[in-house]
Amino acid sequence: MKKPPATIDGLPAWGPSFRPTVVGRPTDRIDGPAKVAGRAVYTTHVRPPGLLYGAIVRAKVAAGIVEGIDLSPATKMAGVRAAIPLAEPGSRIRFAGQDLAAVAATTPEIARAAAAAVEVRIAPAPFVVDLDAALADGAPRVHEANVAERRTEGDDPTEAAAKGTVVGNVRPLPAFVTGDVERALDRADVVFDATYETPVVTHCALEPHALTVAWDGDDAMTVWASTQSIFSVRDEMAEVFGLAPAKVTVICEHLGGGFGAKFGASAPGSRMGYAAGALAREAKAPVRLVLDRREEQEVTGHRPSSRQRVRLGATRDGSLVAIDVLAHGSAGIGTGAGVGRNAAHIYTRCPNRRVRAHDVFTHAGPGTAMRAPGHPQGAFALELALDELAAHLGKDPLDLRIAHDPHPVRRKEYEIGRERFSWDARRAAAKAAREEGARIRTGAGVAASIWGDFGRARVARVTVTVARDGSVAVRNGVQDIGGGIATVLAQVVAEVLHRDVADVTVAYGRSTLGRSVGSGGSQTTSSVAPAARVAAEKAKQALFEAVAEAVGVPAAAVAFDGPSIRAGNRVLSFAEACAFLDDDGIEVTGSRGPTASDLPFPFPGGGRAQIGGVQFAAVEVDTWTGEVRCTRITAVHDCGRVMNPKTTESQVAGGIMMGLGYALTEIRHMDPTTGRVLNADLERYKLPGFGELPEIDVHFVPVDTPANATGSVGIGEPATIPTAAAVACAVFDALGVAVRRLPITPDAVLAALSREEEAP
Amino acid sequence: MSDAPRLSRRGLFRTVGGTAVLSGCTREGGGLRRPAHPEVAGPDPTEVQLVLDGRRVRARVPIVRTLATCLTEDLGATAPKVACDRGACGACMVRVDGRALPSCSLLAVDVDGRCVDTAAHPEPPPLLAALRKAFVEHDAAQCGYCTSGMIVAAWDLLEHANARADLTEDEVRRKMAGNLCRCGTHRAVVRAVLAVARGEVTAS
Ligand code: FES
Ligand code: FES
Repeated sequence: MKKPPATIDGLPAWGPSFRPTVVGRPTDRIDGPAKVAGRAVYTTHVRPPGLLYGAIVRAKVAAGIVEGIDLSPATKMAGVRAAIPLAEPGSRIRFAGQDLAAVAATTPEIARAAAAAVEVRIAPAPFVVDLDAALADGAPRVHEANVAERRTEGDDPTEAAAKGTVVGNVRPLPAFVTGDVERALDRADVVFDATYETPVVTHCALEPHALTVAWDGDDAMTVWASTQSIFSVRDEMAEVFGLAPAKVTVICEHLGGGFGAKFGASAPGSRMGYAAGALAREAKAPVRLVLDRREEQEVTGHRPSSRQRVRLGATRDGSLVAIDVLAHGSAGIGTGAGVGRNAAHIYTRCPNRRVRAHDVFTHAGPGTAMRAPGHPQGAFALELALDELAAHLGKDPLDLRIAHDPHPVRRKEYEIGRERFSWDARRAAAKAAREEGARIRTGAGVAASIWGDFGRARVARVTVTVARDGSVAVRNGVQDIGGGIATVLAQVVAEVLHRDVADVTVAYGRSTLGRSVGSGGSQTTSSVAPAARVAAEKAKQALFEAVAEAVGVPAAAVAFDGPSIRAGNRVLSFAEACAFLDDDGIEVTGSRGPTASDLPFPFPGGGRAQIGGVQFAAVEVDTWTGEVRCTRITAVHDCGRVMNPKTTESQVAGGIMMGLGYALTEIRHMDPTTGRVLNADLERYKLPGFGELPEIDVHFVPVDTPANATGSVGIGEPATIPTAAAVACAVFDALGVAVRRLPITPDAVLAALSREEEAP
Repeated sequence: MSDAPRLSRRGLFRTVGGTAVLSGCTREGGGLRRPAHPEVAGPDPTEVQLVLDGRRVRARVPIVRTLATCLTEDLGATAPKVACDRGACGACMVRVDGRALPSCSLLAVDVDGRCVDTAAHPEPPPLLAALRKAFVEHDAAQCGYCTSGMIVAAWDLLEHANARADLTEDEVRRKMAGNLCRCGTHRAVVRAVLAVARGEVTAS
């Protein structure tokens, strides 16, 4: 990409010489007080007058043909106000949990009873929920024809669409190939070949998918949605019901998590938006649909599974010559079981690289993007394979990585981590305990992440107002998923207008406040914050012009002087300056232009920067019980200019916790005999919790990127990409034998240890 | 619902003090001291009366209604959240007569006459007020959906701790283990709770 322009969106960059006073300071999130006082109202708690409660009737079998749906037992019940079919005779059932019908009633208890009363006849058919069974000859086919890909704002926007055809239950995803892997493997001194597996895990946002629809006449509606993308809900509802988008108001004031599963009005496996809207229309009253935990686990998306055969070729002195990954994974009936970019795009000093991934369809609810689609899966397999190879070669796995990674920031991050984490001492201690055969072992591992600056041009429109009384407000229709974008909006405006964060009123979470982006792909901050700066700079300009005119100096003679404004030789307080405005004050809208630079290092395909990030994990393993405890994570990340270190650090700590669940506790179990999820709840599906909490050390490497007018880049996804991989590498270091499947439960550890004993 | 104090039809409001707002029922056995619900309830909806966050309230509920549903749907409470609906996550935690319990796993009729405190108490007792402050300072709420439950659990833990100032990180983790958070606020929550335990953050 060309060198950075002198200005970005007409503004000087917030570059190395910029000395911010608000941006970059640890700032309490502005919605914190409402959240801690239990006052924040989430979609699940919105109660418009006359509210009815919806419930969805779902298939209890994994495959079959609908023969009939009789709603009358439900409609006859007292308190039931509407009932609609969501399938018809002849409809094909492809997973347990699929939509069949929906009801609305005056209480949630009646709605549930009415849903249970709906009579459904389904002719069951053979099904397959297990990867091996789905790959076997003669396996029941999940899809008869090619499958349309479901893409969301949670996906990596640079990833090519799959065009391969379905053979049996398998469909290839776009392959990545550079060099000649087979030839390189043939000629390599050392070839390492092993297979790794990752489970299906689920998003488990604590707030379930929820939606309330209230019609306002026939051609307008208000939708309260628990969503990562207010505008995708708006556009989908408008399309489904044939309304003008401007006639659909979507509100998401507070959002109880999403992690990739909450884009659009429909949940990945359920037409919730249509159901709630149609029920509300029929009942002539607002209808709320809130899914329960079984529905969440079975229907609303998951991170696809994977089985990855990794082959690495190297020279005897430790140069990688080939990386080859052959992957199969299942996103249930859905698409997108890829394995991210660790194998293809991090260790690019290895000349021959190939990644071939495949979707394997099974009769389970659709997978969807989950915090870095494909990446944690791919990172686990490739990074652990690298460590196994390094052990064969007698090399330090950290050195091996640095030797093959050209990214200047990630290389620096490795070095910072080496110090902060005491890598050398920990590795030495692990080796000593291993050689001595100690019961309690320790281990240290490291893994990398790759992500891109996916900030979007001209989507977010941020409006800044300055009133004659000196009050400043900013508004944009973005939802705050918990990353703290509302606070960043206030910070950016406060920075430009020399105010305190508390002086800036922020309105967000509503489609009427100006178009915005979805909270996916770690793109929120880099899309919204620069737009806020553009708007705030315009407001500043307008204010200076008003002051110049009133005071009788040229506009160029007006400038901030601390919180005051200097005009020629007059010094005015901000409020005094604003008093020169007319009654309407200032109201200006800004948006950001295209990404202006890919510095310091390009993302594959160019045109945008590549984000690094490495994490080091320390574990303690009890070789008698197989228990693994992660004792420390040192996370060294970059995301351009950090807007709010407080919330950003929280987000990274949160990504680490999610990664620990992936490493140690989480797996969704399907019952092969019933085709249903066995642990569709939160007591048998094990989220990581206080018991798993390690020491967490987060360090940011500041990077001046002239990519956009604030230099900010997102961090949501990179924060969780390397965690499980680093933990798996640390367990390998502790045991001397790798556990090649997640989660690393005690039985998996003991099985790995006994394999080692059997080995000659 | 109504906030108006009213003698129950069974005249069992007698232990309620003269104040309109009770500032957190922090002792066991607070509340309206109604006996366990009369022998039989239902099948028709039945009236329950509570002191909710210091205010007397009543609601007519189906007998199968959970306390969580009663609080959020009948009484408009915004603090308790139902995330699992079966006692596994703690997001719905409230204090019933000064003990933290999952409101999804109690029937409304079974807490008739009791004192129910949520994280949203309008006149928070000092511990609750301090916890709110500490949670903001330590950024212990990301999406915030687990937060009310976390705060109730922490409030309970601190109030019943023998030697609050000596609470260790391990004890906090153990006692909070029933509260789940998907955003991963755990580290911040532990820091916030310890800050209050040690008096580093106080109500005022
Ligand atoms: S909702 Fe009550 S414990 Fe989870
Ligand atoms: S802050 Fe989101 S679940 Fe805890």
